[in-house]
Amino acid sequence: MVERKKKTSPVKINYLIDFIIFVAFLAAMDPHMTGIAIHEWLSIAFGAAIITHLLLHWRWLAATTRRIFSKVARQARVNYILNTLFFIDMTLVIFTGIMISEEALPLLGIRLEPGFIWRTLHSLSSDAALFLLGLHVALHWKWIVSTTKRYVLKPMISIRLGKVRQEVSA
Amino acid sequence: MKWVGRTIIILLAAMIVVAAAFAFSRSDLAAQLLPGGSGRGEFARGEFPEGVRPELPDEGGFPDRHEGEFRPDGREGGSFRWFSTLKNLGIIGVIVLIVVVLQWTWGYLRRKIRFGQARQSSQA
Ligand code: HEM
Repeated sequence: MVERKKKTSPVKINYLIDFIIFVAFLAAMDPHMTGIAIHEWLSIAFGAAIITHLLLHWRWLAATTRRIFSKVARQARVNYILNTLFFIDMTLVIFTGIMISEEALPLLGIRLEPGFIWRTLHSLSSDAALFLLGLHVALHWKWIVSTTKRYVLKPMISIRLGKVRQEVSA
Repeated sequence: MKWVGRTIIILLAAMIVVAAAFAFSRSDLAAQLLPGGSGRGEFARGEFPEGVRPELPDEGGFPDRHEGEFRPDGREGGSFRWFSTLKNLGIIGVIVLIVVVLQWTWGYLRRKIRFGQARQSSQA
């Protein structure tokens, strides 16, 4: 008999990765809580997570880029502009972070001259990132709510109901 | 292969941002806009004035200067360690709320106006 592997839904994968990115961002935004070493390594890994996030949304990205100067829905255009700003800002946050690194880069034997300007830019761009993330989440709020219902709340409720049924029949 | 190409495109886009940031940091505009140094070595590691950047890190490995006058924004400090994270979560929540309410209101007004127009034209 041929065993068929059940394919995980791409929506589920997206949801999981987005959730991890969100939690990692909140942690990165509070270096005093994590300590500077975790802050730096976590945020460097965060860069890889963003690339994964973009790769998973590549179809939207490519299609909207092709149409951005011609016919595209207003909501998609707003999303596109916001996402571009967000990408620029996150690149800036990570880059300026690397420029002022106190743990990660010295550990790799690299020592940069951490000018005051990088510190200021790191602080400013991370503030902007918080604001942009808020807008990013807001513009995808419907998707977040419906996916949470489908993949988190419904399974939780059905597990709970199953338990109650078992207890009743026992 | 497809993924490699796409990753390279993303990295190239990031490199453009990095190059622009680097050029900006070297420009006079940066020195004018961001007070406290032009990024050409002033305030570099170990060059902080006495008291502004104390040597000892705190127990979280985070430099003490965050509680000092170096960053007057008050973001750090405070006895409750999660405070900043909760505050950030709150800021995101408020932004989401504002946008969702605005979108809903916009949709509601548009439906109302359309409905009003349709009624007018059917009466005419
Ligand atoms: C997701 C990306 C990142 C976010 C959201 C982020 C956020 C922050 C925030 C909010 C601060 C406090 C700034 C302030 O006091 O005003 C900070 C400080 C700092 N970050 Fe990051 N960061 C990120 C990436 C990085 C990376 C990749 C590194 C280094 C490899 C880094 C190194 C540092 C250092 C050394 C400080 C202390 C700066 C100081 O003393 O003022 N960060 N970061």
